[in-house]
Amino acid sequence: MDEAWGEILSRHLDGDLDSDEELKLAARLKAEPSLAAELESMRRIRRSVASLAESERVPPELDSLVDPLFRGKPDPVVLRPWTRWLATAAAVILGAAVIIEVNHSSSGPNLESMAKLRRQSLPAKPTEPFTLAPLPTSSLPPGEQSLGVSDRLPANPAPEVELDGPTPLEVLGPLEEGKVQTFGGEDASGVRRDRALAKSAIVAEEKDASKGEDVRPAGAAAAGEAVPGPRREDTRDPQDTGGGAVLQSWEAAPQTGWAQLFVFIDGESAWREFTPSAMCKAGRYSVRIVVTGGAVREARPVGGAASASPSQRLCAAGLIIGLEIEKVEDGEYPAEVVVEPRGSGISPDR
Amino acid sequence: MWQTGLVEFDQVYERFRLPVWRLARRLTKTEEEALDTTQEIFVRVWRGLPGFRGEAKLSTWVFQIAWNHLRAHRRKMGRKLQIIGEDMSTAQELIDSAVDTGPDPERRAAATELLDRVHEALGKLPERYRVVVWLRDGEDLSYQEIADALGVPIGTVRSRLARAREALRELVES
Repeated sequence: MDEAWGEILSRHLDGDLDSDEELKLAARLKAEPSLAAELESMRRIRRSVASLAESERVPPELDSLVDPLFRGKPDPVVLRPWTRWLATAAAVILGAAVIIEVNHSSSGPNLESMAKLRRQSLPAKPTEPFTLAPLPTSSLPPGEQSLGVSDRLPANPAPEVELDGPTPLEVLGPLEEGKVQTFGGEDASGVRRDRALAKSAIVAEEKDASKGEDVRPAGAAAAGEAVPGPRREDTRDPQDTGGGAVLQSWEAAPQTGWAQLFVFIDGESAWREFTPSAMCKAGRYSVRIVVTGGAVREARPVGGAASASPSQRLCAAGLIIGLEIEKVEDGEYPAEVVVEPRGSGISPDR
Repeated sequence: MWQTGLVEFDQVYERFRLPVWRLARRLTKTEEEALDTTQEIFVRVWRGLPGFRGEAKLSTWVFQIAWNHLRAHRRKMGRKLQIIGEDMSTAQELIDSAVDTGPDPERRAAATELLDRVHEALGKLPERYRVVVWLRDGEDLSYQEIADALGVPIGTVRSRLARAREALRELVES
């Protein structure tokens, strides 16, 4: 078949021909039955492709990975005032117990000491070497090793008491394009952008990095060493966050979340903290990460029912894509993301 | 509610989980790969959502992310994207569920055979043809939406789709 007529037949199937072209085609089809047969054949195949698509159903595994929050979620239980008070008190007590437990751990980052360091107005220091410290459980076989300091905590994140309804994810507001992280020439959405935009994003990231995001050896803070704590000096104008990026305020004041990434490498652990561009619910999330060229290129949430809900894990995994962890060799590693709640008193933005 | 910008993530996921998974299934080799890539695509959708300004159609934007990710996945795997086809039971289940289940056994058998051939032929199409046929005939995207999603001019979509349909017809009838 002539290629030009092939395109006309194809466009005819899609209703893309104008009236003149339709008339020409009709005349040609009358004169050439073989062309009409080809058109009919293409039409049947087209319907078959549509039937194949219609017959497919999303496997349940996908939903269990991504969206259980949105499917069949029961209405939140509205508690009576005294029940609310009781639930809140229980949550506070449990939260305090968790913090005390963390602070008594002998290895890994110590939240209290980190907070103390941040309160000290030490000048920001260049990123320190990313060193590894043995995991307390490294003598166990790899399959049985726990996730370092976090395994002293309950597998669930901080207790969630649902009161009047689901709390919306707190966000910083829409980010300008310059703030969108880039991945090998593609932005966070995987869409290739103009080089100038990509460059401005990189500049913005570098600017952010130099302002205080750090990489520290595990255990240093826990051992009480006076590690000069990286401190994000929040002297920036909220409208000037670098690289043309504008962080719109959320409820008037710009707020940021705070998070940590722990990487477990051959029985050792390393960690860094970072400021995510949007917040997930506070908690600890197990992930598997793929590191290439000193940055996290892929992150896949893992964990069973004992862990946070899959949607929350997905959120946490999304936070670390593109995060720089220079001293980690290329490869795939188990890791953990710790998201601290806003207003916890330990955010670096103090 | 996952509110990250103009659009809420749960709504995007609800609307596009099936189309994205179907595309991933068409362009990867195994069910597991399709699930993994679909999940990864939605991680990227989630991350990109705060920057989504509504300048493009949401469907175009999501398919753009999906296509870019699936292409990157192929490069990483170091091979051409392939339709799932090695697991014959899965392919047969797909075809069985898609055929006309009317009372006429002859008609039903013919429909089954055609779907079988189409399914197989789709897997043999070059990737650039397969994706354009699938987005148009499987997902019912317009020429413009396909052009935006694949990052090619609309004229390229027209000509590529015509060649893809012709190639598919030849494969089915061979």
